[in-house]
Amino acid sequence: MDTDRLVEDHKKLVYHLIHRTVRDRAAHEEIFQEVFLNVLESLPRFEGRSKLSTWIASIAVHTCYKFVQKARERERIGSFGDWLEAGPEPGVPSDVQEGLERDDIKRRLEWHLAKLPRKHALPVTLFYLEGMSYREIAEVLEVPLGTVKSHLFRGLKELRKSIEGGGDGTLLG
Amino acid sequence: MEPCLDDVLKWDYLNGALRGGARALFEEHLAACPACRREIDELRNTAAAVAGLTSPAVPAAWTAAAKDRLRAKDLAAAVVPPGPALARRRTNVFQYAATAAGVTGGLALLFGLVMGGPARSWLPDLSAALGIPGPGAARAARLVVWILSLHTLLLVPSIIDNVYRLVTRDGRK
Repeated sequence: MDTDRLVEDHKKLVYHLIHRTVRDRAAHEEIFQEVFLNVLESLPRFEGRSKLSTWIASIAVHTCYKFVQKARERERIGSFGDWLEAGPEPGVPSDVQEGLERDDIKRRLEWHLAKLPRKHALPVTLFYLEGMSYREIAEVLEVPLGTVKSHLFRGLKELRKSIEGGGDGTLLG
Repeated sequence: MEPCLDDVLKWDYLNGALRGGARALFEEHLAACPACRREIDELRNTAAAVAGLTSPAVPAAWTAAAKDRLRAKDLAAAVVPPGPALARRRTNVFQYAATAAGVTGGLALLFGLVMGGPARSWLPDLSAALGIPGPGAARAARLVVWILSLHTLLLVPSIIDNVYRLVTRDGRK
């Protein structure tokens, strides 16, 4: 097994999903390692029914969920579906907040995207930034295909609302 | 005026997935509905802005650490297997031996209990053929039958267990 290639080919996808899902930046590195260890451990069970990247994305999102569940054991996180449905944790990640100059369009867009609930932020990220199909997103998030489209549409709408509410209307041209 | 069409329909239109009659009907509605028209225009701009985002860069140290940990884990997994395989082979040999011993004992029990009468009448011929005096051979044969019977009774649970294991393992293959 070429483990170096496994990491190299999927590092951006895994990092992106962790970045979009878990607010605690200090935990990101640990989760990143954990995802790849989980992937290697589960690889004998990969049946090739989906693309390897889709399968890895699914492991990454579930690893994030388990991490949050463990880290906040006193709170009731609920099922994987409940956790995706829930709004974002309070606050905006520090590394997104840093250097938010008005002319830094990409970082400001990132800042608004980080404020979206996971159920909207994840489909938007997987569709626009990772180029996944609706079917692949449905598999990763364990929701029906129609729900993926509806979350994508509402995600864009909320993003638009956040941008306009933050006085960043110029970002959208 | 509130937008009035279904989110999934609007999403499909926005992404060019609505064709033929459905598209014509949608556009007919857009022409008559300023709220839906405005919403589609706004979301088209938002989608274009999000599509321009790029994935965040993965820290090089994280990639290197993940590669190291995966290589170590992969190597460890490649070294471990012979132990359990050898143990399994030994277990198989023991199970076959125990089953064979049990079956032999069972046959001896059958011989001693069911065919006890005829067997006793054959013993003089057998003892003559072997050159052993009659009463001595009969006593020895009775002793052997009793020992084997006792051995069989003690081994009954083990025989059942071993036969079950052999059958179920074959069933799994």
